[in-house]
Amino acid sequence: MDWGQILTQIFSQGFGTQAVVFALAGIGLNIHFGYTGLLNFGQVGFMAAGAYGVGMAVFWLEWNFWFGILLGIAYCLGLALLLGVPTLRLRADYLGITTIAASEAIRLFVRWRGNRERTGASEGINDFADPFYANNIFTRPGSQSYKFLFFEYRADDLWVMLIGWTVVALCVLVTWQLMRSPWGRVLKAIREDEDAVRALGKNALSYKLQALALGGVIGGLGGMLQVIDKQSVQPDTFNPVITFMIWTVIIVGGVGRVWSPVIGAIIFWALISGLEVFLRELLQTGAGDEFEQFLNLNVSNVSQVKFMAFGLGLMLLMRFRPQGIFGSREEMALDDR
Amino acid sequence: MTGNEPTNEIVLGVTAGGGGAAGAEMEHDNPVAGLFDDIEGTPGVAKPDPILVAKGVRRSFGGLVAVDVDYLEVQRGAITALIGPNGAGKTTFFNLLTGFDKADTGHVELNGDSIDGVASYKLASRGMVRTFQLTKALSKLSVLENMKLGAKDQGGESMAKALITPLWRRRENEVEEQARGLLDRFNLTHMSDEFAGTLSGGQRKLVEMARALMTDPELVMLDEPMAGVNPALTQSLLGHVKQLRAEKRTVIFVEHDMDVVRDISDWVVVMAEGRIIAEGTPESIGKNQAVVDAYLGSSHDSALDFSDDDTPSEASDA
Amino acid sequence: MNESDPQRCGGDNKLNRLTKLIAALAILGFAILGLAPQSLAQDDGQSMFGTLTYENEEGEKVPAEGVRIFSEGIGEAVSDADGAWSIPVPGAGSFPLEIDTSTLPDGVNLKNADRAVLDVLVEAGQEKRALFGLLFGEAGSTAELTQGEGVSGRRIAQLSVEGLKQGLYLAMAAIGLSLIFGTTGLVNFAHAELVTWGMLSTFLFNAYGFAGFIGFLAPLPPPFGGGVNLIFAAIFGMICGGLMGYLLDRTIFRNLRRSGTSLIAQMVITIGMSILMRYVFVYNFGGSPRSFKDFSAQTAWSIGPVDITPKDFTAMALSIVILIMVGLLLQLTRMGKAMRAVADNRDLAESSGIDVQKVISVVWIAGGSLAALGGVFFGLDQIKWDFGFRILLLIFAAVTLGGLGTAYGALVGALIVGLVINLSTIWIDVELKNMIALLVMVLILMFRPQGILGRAERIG
Repeated sequence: MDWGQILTQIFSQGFGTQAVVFALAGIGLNIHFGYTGLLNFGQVGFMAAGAYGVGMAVFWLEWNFWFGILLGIAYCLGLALLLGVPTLRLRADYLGITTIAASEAIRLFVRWRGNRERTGASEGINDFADPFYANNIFTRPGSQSYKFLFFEYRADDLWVMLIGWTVVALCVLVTWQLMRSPWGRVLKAIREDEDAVRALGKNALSYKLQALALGGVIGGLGGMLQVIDKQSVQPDTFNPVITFMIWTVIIVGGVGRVWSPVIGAIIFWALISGLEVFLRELLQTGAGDEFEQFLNLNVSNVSQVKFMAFGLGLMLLMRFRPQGIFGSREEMALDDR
Repeated sequence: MTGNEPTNEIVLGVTAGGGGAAGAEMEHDNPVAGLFDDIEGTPGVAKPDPILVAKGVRRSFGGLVAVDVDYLEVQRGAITALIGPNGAGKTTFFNLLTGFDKADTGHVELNGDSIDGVASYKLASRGMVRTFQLTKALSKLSVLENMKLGAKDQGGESMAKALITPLWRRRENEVEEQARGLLDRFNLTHMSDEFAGTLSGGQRKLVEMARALMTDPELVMLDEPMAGVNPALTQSLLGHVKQLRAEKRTVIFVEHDMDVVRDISDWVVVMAEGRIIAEGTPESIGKNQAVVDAYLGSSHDSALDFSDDDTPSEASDA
Repeated sequence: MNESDPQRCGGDNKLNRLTKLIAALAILGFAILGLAPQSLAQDDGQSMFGTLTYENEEGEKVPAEGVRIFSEGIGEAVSDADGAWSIPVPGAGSFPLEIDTSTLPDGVNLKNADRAVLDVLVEAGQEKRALFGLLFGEAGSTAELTQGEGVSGRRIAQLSVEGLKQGLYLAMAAIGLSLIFGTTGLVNFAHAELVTWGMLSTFLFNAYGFAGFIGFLAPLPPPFGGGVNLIFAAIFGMICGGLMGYLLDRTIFRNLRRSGTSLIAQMVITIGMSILMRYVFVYNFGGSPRSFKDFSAQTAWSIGPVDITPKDFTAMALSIVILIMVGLLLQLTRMGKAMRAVADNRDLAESSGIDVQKVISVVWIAGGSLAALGGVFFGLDQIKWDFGFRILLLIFAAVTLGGLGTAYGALVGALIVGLVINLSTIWIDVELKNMIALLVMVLILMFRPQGILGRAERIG
């Protein structure tokens, strides 16, 4: 058992590109659910909108990559409008079902063969983000990988992480400022009771739409970062399971807290990748042969165990610590929804 | 009505002891005292200066007609009670008046302007504010934040301005001052930093009323303001409602408790099965045969004692 | 399967009991299915495979031998005497797959000339079936009307039957979801996993008997050590479904209701449960699609303008009978009335002496077994670990269309969904048909949020 390798994985993944992506998507979802109470089960749809904005700008429109980011943001805003105007009047559970349906509709639409010229259909869009990496300050001749303590990253990942965590910091700052302002107060009031807010003269629908758009755009930035990191936009990577992972991330951190998505994302990825590498090490060293045989564990199904742990973890978390790691039980008890 | 008025005030002065400063203020005059003496108590009767007029308002759910009001005027500056047995359509009518539900047919005018199809949130800026039967205290906001939410003209409630603190800080300070003033009046200062979810039912009613006043309304619509409030707090709440009238605001409220209705209302509107079956002063309404029938015909179990010697002091003891 | 059994049993003995117990408890899912025959879970890397057949002039199904199939840069294969071919692929991903039409037997063409190149998405460890539709004669004169072009009476009739079929099966799954929502307010995201569960347990029993669940029974005669007829297996699957429903409610949701967990928190818990169950399934059954031992290949009957296989016909007839029975039970029996009373007003029902917890248990059992049976019917076409999840949104669409909480609404909604997605293929690409269902659902929710049969709600 190579504990050094396991720790390296835990630390590297905990702060790695996936964690950045989920932190961003989580900040967006936290604005939706944590502050405004919108039961958005389609956050991955916003990620897809951002990702395809960049991808399609380069692949289909042959624009400059950097303008693609603007197109991605425009897509997210468009999606928020398209989704929000008709559905934000709905009850919470209906909204949840509608948003998950919308995110699936997006996935089915972009992977449709009729869209091959625009979205690359099921093949997706590849190698579109070269301008992003052209500015990489970590590139150096010879070694392409950096290692310090338990962290180990490729130069390209480091560059994605630098930009990514900077964007995360900015988004956290914006969220913090907005949520202590009167605007944020209205959102929180809507989360508690929309009718009361309307009776007091606030256009609740407009506020919900603004929250949906803001959280959607931040989620879209996450989606962009994900496809830039992979240099590939694949329709099937934007499936509902991703949305549920983002939910887990914000619940881990504590819903409705500014830092929760960031901390949640770090913990989530550290645990998930830690578990996987631990099991792989276990298989390699043969330390638990009987155990493995008993459970039919092998190299090809290790990643399934990861998902089982994720599902079970979400259940247990929601049952026994719904306020997350840093939330307060008392505050949660006030929740009468 | 005028004959009863002094009794009311004396009694309130005593029983609202828990209300403290609020109780003392209660001894203001009734600005509309005597106004209703000459008005005949028939459904749809015209008032000298109506603030709210409803014409032919009808709402049905499936086959059930929940509200069918031919004509109603609500007098400015008075306290109007809306009573009726369970299922009479009071709350639905309230929802229709406040834009929370849409009438199938009919018109509603506020200050002479039509408010048909006007979104509920726009009515606050026109001077109309409402509370709810099931109190809507915003549980995970502090009492002070609950209050601040009611404020008008807070530029910081726009997303762009919210980003830059100096653009809203000054107004925020004003709002906070106003909010603390109201909390003081409603004896809630000691709770201002608590989560509203930790308050008792009566305190929530107070917060909701105080929050409504943050919008500086002309017309306050209270849906069962006394429901679930303990008797000690009832008198304090009644005092606050009268205080609204003293401030020249109009109050419409839905209520079940006839003693409360007799105590504070200037005019009573009775609904049954969606229709307005009677209107009149509190004194006259108890003698109205249609009203008695409507109540006895239903399974409603609230006290319907209209004996002539029924005084408010007994009511508060009951 | 049999070869691997003694070996694993040996492994079992070496573990002491306590370790085994802890291991079993620690990973919930393994405890349920961890003893499934090892061979079920083995995946030999990933590949694309398929069988090329066509109907000759006499209407007999014959294999197409010697046809070259290739994937640019990945590999190629030539179909054997049974028409079978297989191309291993290096990893998960999307691969272009092309059929060399010049190698097709004389007179045989592609049903759809545009489909000479396919995009095949292979998941990790998956054997992915790829289909090239072949026919004898010119394209367009095909009996496979659902794949055809243009609007004709026959095509509409055929698609309507397909839609009806899918709608009926969906209804089986949707009614349980709707009833659970009605009685407890819970939107159960794991309901589709009950569909998969019914499908998979039926398959195991159909193929391996009880040994499919408890490996060491393998040497015994059927039904312990060998497969049984699908009809018995389906009944067994229904029992499994009801049992699972009961256990989920008893062990998880009853406690959540007692502890006053909010409905949204419960909903998130069902999401976790859905993921857990799904990956327990794939862990134990593997990623490849499978089919039942009986009735897998049938020639279609022609009834009027419509072609339908006997198994589909039977399943449809059965589901109509069962749905009518469910309706009658809801309408006439004490329990049915109690269910509707609880759905209408739980507190009132409780205070009038109805045992609400018992009613909810029965709803879960009925919902679970109906979903399982729906799974069996769907499984006549394909059995796969994530089948339920793939139709989850269609179930939701059905339930919301009809109005959450009403059993009849779910039935009507399911039929509409089935018909809409199938008939939409007359005008719209097949790939988009599920998207159409989702869009229709969103539209209905916009204009009639209470659903078609739901009642408008009062505010206040």
